[in-house]
Amino acid sequence: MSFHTLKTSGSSLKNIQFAIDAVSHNIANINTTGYKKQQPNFEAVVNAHAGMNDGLSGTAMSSNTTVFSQGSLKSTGTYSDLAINGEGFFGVQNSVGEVVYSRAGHFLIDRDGSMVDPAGDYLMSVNGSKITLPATAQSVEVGIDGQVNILFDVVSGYESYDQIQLATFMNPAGLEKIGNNNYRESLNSGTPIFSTAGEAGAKTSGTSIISGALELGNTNLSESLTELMAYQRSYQAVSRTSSTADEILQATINLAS
Amino acid sequence: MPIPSLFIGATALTTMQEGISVIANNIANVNTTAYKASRVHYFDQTYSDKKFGSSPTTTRGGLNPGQVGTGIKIADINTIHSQGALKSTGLASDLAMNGDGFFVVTDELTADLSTNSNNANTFNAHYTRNGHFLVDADQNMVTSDGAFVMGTMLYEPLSARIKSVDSYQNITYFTDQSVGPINTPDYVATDGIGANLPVPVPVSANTSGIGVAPVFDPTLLSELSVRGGVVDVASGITTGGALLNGDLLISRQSDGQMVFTFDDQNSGTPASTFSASFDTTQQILDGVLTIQLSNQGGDVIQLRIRLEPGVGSFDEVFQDINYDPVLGSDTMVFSGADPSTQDGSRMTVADVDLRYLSVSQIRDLVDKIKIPNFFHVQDPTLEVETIEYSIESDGTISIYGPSSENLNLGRLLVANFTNPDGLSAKGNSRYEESSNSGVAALNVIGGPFNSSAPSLRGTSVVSGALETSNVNLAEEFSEMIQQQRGLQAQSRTISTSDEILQTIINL
Repeated sequence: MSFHTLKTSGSSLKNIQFAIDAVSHNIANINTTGYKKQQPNFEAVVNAHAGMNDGLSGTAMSSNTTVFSQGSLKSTGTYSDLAINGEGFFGVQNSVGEVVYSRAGHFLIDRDGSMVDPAGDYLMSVNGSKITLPATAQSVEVGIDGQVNILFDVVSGYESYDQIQLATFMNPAGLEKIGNNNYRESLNSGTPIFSTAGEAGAKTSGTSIISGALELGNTNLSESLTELMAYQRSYQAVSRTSSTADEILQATINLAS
Repeated sequence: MPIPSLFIGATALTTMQEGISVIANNIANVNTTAYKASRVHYFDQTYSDKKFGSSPTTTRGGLNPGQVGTGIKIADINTIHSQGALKSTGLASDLAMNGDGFFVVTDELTADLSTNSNNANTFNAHYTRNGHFLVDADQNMVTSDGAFVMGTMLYEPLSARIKSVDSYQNITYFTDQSVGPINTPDYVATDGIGANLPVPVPVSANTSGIGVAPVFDPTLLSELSVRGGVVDVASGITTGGALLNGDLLISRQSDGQMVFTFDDQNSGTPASTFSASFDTTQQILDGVLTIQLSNQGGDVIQLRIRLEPGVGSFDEVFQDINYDPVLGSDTMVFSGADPSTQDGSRMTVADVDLRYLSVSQIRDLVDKIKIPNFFHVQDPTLEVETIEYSIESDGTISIYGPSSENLNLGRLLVANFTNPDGLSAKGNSRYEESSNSGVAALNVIGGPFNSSAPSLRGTSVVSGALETSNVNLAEEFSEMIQQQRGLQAQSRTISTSDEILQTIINL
């Protein structure tokens, strides 16, 4: 029985460590553009051993939910820095041609004039292709609907050139996180639904794209540090059950002698 | 037992330290001319799957994946090429770039730029927004670390020798002829392309009887006009006007040699009546030779040939044929003996200089910018001193004389990039082309110099001002506080992880 307590506390310790990792990761990414914090959730694990009546046997991490609350916006003054204010993800195409999704709108212009993220992935347009600005462009602006307008000639003014695509998911929390601020469609996220910012009838109808700003990470430092303390204390408490169980075992062993 | 949170915290600590270094560098350069602030951006690290997601089935709902992240990494550190404010300095040589574009500078100007090259790679160009330029002892416009500032120059100033060869041995100018005094014909040699006659190289052959002059690059000197006539240099065919007796014919041999021929029969070859055909009425004892070279734009350049006595009975040292615009003499004087009495005399071309005196036609030749001490306006015999110079908003460089004479020297060369953020910073306010910046598109502001490059119509150059750095202290400080708080929070996760380790050890 005390063996069982030991195992229970061992598994709990491991899971609390996961939670501390998650909180540390949130804190580490406090300054990461478009980062969405993870919320570790626990569930009680029912002992699977037949005939035992000790009920619950520790905790398991049930999920580590990504919290897609809006991050605050930071002005940068660079037109190719884009913040999504509202629902939706940018689609970016990586080097193997796979389209992944991101809230981080720090885009750059490469040698060919294409809009790319810092990892070199192409920002996708409504046409499902990359957005390549022509070399003759005098000036570029991005509208709140993601419309990319280009000034070729001062006389004729800005002309619409392309539009940035946004993707939404039935269950964004189900997206798989792959690093580089990117998410991948998963079994439980649902397939991407493509739209544009402010498109009537779409999930992104209330969304705007802010050019010249970046979305900050949504990690709340005070909340995260509190969580850190709470998990630390939990860890200590659970470890206490381990030592207690150990002492009981010791006592049991001593009984026999 | 590894504690990931310890390493997440430690990695974040070092990564954010880089971020603070970037901010420190920005703040350090707050007063650096034309410094462009950099900004660090982060990526989240990869995730480890603690629990895999599954899709919904008819009997059970879908499950989200449970993933724990592994920290942070730097996504990029990019330069923000926004315009800095302009600060007035009152020095004409201080230039501020207002709008897109970079000044083009180079440390190594070894390549021959006479082929009108738009390619910055031919002169190892660097790019800068720092327009604090100076003029050095050789009148070159240079950066404060001594790199030449490049422009599209209309001509090279008088005070500079363009092409010079110091000594021509064994080149006979007159051979076996009684050299009579030479009249003063208005010989004009035309370079069909531009006024850039190439470097002559010495030759020793003497094939044409009268004289062999140095070799010119046969690809450049294409035709020559003599008294309104035009001689095709390659074929020797004359059109548009007859040659007169005594004209100096300059022709090119198939081997590239230039032959100066005194032609008395319009035939291109000397005749026995050579000496008799000169106009001897004015100067019997002193032969006068004038050679003027000009390009098609009517720009006068100078060919200076110094002759030395060679074999024969000429024993005086001949004076230079020195086109001296100040003295107004463009003559060579044979002094001493009566040349008409000399037989079998030779002179050796000792020295050939080519100089531009003034040019009215745009050559648009990429070259270093020089502000000459003297220049010519219209009348090539009149030299005026440069009193001041100015640089207009479109990069036009003009020099002014004491009586408001002025001359347009050329224009500043400006480079533009598809992706200026991709330039590689080299320090000293300089940037270098990188694989992701795109190739430098060289142009003049708003100008037609290079039609394949953006015209930069929105850009202007402001003389007498410098661009200040675009570092915004308020922004840097708020950024620094943000980074610092981030750092502090990381140290907290480290200490927590440490305490957990302690707890484990105490188990």
